[in-house]
Amino acid sequence: MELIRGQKVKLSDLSSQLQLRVEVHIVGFSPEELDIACFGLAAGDKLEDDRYFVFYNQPQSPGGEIRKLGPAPGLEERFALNLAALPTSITKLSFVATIDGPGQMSQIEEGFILLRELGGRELARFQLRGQDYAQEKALILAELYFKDLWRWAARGQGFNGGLEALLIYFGGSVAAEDPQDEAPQPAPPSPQRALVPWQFQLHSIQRPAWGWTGNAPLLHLGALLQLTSGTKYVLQELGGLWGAKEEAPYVTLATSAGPPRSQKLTCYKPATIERLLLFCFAQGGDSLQGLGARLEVTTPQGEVQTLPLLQPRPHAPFCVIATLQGQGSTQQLQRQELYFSDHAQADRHFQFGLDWRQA
Amino acid sequence: MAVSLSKGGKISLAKEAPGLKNVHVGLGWEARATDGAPFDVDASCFMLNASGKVRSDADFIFYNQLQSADGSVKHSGDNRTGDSEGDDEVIMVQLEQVPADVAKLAFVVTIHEADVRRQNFGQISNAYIRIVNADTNQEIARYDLSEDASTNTAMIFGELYRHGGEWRFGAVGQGYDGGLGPLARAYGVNIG
Repeated sequence: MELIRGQKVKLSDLSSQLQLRVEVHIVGFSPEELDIACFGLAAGDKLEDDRYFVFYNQPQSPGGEIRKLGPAPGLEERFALNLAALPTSITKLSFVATIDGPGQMSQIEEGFILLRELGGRELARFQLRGQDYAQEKALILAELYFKDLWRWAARGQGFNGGLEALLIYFGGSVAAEDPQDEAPQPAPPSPQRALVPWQFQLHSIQRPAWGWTGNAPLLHLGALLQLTSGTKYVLQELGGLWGAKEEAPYVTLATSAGPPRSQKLTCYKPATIERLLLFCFAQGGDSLQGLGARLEVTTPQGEVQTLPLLQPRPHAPFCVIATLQGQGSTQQLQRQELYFSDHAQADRHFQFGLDWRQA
Repeated sequence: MAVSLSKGGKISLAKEAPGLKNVHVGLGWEARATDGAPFDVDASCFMLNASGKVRSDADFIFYNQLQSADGSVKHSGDNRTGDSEGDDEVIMVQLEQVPADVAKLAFVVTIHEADVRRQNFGQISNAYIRIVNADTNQEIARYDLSEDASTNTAMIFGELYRHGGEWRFGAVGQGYDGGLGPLARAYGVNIG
């Protein structure tokens, strides 16, 4: 059965089963850019229990009633559902897509969300087309909800404000009624803490000839990382060490060509971090002077702070800007701004113990 | 208790509201929380003769003509976003004031510019139309538009009609995909 936007059907008209699968296919974004999640909501469409928010950092609900299965050929995400096992307080499962990056939902090239029986029989399909959307960066794709009985709705509505707007919508923070009221909006409740990863974005001043003349150095962001498991990683563009989101190290590096060029490092599972050392270096340069490099840090609480390189030194093209130290479920950010001649020297200083000889 | 209508359900509700004198037809919906064109839903009333047509264009009570010439039918005015508490648009009818050559009153609900904005009732949260006996405050019938008319953009909710010496309400619940214009033409209103 093909659904149009806004269409609602009783589940009992489609199937007698309560063990179902939801599959999502969206073309037009990189896997790093697109997140697909399921919110298990209580009455009033509110996320009252964080544990029923199933996303990359929490792939299933406490009783396994909602399980995120990950991608499959031709599918960006799959969920397995057991509606009969859900607590009665959960009355809606909202399947959402969010874009973390410059894209917007009008760029969807093709896609769908569909509902299946566990055995595989397709029940209902809702096509996703970019032309139906505009600047949304978060989209409620479809919802399974209980209203006298279980129903399936093709939603296709979203928020230009992306994940944050979606969390406010589901989190119950109410915007001030009085437009005169300048008081800041209360922060959305706990889901934001669990959800938003650490993000580090390296900016520099714009140079039109950047990378063309061969003379100007190319600024790179990178990281040395040790997980609580003990495994160590290097992330940087040189060598193509981009990391991974769904598997260890749960940290990714991405580059936007610009101009101005910028690079972003995202930590999806902060709790797995033992220590993270954020560095930048000028490829083909002798120093970081004159590049205006600065690291913009977004904490899981949504606070943004900028760490500029205040005193770049000559003959030191490598800088450890900051470190992130794991402390159980929280992390401590420490500004460093220590200059080195290369990776190996910085490694020795911080006693990381990686082998840099072949580089 | 109120009767909830399901799609296309044509039920006679004579027992639900005997001796109706004053009625309140309420239309409500939730303002759009997501980004995009607002949802603007309109309630309208057609005063019809025994042939099921308006006597003149003055018998079409809607957002641009808020009351009938005789004052028996009054529209609360156009709410364009659904942002008020309770019913967002109300049509009040004093049945004893309705002229004798009006045999029935038809109530319709439509989405403004549904085609252009590519909207339907299913996209709107908690959209409903209901009829209340204004003297007893008892709800006679209610139609959940968001749920049961999800793919429609227009609907004939129901009709108040004369039966013997009194007025009764008959639920229609028939959905359509045109706008207010085609409905008005079907009832004999001359619109451009």
